[in-house]
Amino acid sequence: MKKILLTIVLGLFLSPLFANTSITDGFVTGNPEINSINAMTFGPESILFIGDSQGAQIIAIDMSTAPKANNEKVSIPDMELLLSELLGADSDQLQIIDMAVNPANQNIYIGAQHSSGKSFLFLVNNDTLEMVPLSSVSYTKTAVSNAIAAEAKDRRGRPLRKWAISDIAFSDGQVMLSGLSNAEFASTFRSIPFPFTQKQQESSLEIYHAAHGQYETASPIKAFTTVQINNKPHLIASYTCTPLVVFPISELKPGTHTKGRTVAELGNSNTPLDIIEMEKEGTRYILMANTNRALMKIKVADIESFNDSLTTPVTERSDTAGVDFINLPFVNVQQLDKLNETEFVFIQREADGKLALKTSNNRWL
Amino acid sequence: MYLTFVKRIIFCILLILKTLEGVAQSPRFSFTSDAVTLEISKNQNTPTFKVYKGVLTAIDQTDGKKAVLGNLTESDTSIRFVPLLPFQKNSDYTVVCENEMYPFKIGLDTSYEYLHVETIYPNTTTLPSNFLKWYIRFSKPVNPSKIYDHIHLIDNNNTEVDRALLPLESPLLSDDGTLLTLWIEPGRQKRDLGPNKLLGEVLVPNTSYTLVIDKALKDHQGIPMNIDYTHSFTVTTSDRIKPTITSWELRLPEAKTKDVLHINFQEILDYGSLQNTIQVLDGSGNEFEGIFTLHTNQKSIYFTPSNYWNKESYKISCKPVIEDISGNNLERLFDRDITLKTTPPLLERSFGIE
Repeated sequence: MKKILLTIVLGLFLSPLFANTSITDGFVTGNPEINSINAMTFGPESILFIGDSQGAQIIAIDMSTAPKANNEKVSIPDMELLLSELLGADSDQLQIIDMAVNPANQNIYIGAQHSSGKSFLFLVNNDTLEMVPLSSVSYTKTAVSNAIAAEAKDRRGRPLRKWAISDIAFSDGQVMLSGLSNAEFASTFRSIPFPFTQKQQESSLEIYHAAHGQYETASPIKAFTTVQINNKPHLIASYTCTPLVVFPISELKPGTHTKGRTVAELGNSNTPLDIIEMEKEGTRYILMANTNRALMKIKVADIESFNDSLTTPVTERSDTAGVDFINLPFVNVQQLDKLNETEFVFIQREADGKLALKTSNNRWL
Repeated sequence: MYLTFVKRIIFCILLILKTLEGVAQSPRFSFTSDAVTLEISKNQNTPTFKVYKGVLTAIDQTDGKKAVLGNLTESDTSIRFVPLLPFQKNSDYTVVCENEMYPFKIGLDTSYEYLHVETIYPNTTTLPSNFLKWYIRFSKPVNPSKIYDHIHLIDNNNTEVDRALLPLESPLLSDDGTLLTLWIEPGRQKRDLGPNKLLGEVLVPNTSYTLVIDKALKDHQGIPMNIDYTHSFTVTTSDRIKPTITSWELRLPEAKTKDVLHINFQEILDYGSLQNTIQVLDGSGNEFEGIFTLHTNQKSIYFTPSNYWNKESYKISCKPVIEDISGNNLERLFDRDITLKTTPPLLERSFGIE
């Protein structure tokens, strides 16, 4: 997905590791053979990570040589019409899958998919979309181990199992991804060291219902991000069936179940779609785009203090519980990413039905 | 009178000749789903052209409009434009060449086989109230975009059940695009979660429902289904019992045969969770190879060995993720009561072949 999160901060600590070696040493130039673009995020040094569910792989592409786009005023009023014209297909045959901003140059990339399964990468430039050819790029990739246990097929030889990457982020030298399986209703979460090695670790992240709890659930993660909470890196995850849960990254161990704590109930039948972190005047905020609610703003400090109070179960307060949040006047935001230190970029379904690409800034923080 | 008639004939002949002249000078295009080809002659100045989606009748209509992306290749006799995606059937496009408009449409073959639902798992007339998910097999790859707009759960008052199904940004479709995993909203099915407390379970016991996939759902080529798909069922009480392998009924083959081992689960298990999650081990603990054939709706799975059964003890070895249609797996209930003590799941079961 679309977060850089701790990358910049952690990059400062990690930079000595890369002092004598380039992060792109193992990269080759050619066609990475991407089967599907399901989730995207940027890592250090303009590396774009693409989660490819169909190919059960993560592709890292060096985008450092891409020229800076002209994005002085980002505004595409009808993304669906534009994609429809460019790809020659009805808009209901096309879907925007993800959006990622390169923090090095603020280039905005859009991943789109056609109903045939073909995926395309576009760059936002001069308020239009330019296709980014992926047939000859500098890349490296790694398979997502055990993404689909030995392909099972039905009697007519058609595949049955599916493990879809639902979100991806880069933090602390790790590509992290969450997935959704059609077989087990459970949460699997992988972290893969970058530069890629043979090493991967898989964790199962469960929800501990400290807020109201008799029942424990094991639901798949839908979206996540990483953020420093009380000076320690944490994962903030939203599930397909429940709101915001926090996990200390240090507790994510291979092959183990890690129980997180619910920090917020965000209203019924609502799931965060994208989560980013912004800062203004020394105060950090989480911004969340949601399926059935407006864009929400939460102070990280509130999560930090709430986290402290969760050493004992808390009493459920109301329909929404946990940390306080403020609804910002942006509804139906489907994609969200941090554009720079003061602005965020988002894709919003507007009242007239059009899907628009826009920016806003930290005056809302 | 006669002269007037001759003049008219001459005028018509001149008009036809003029028209033919125009045709002779017009670019000659041919259109297929995969390409637009323009024939050119050696001495002709090579014209350029672009393809636009929709019907255009005047050049100023291209203002602010983007041409379809694709690759243009040129030979001595033709210029060929191959779009990134094949042209949609039954859709309008226009070639714009030297300020002239050449609309075209690729028709649908008369023998076109429309998208339809082949089967649904589980395909039963009753379901527990905490039922979790269906697998829907389509006859060809389906359009995943906005797929949930076309799937509805209708109750016996002919009212659509609100927030019944879980819409995912990227629907869980098999890689070939034909098998859709469709979840009932798990937030409502899991006890104690906000949606469950506020709205209750999606499925109410003793109520009938119909799952409807409307005919506007399109295949990957943009052609709709033509006929609605419906699947009706009645809801019974919830299933909050874990499946256990000790309750499975085994019908054993005889030694020195390659006969089938029949495992009757005594209940319908989840179609997806049974894929590659059961193994047969021989007396040495090695995998005894063979093929499992699944009949989910028949509560059974059949194992056909690759080699002859020996007169020895074998084991069925299962992964804990095997679950029933309410999401209760061998290890835990779908929404586990953490106040109750748990026991480790039994994942192996021995049987002897005589």
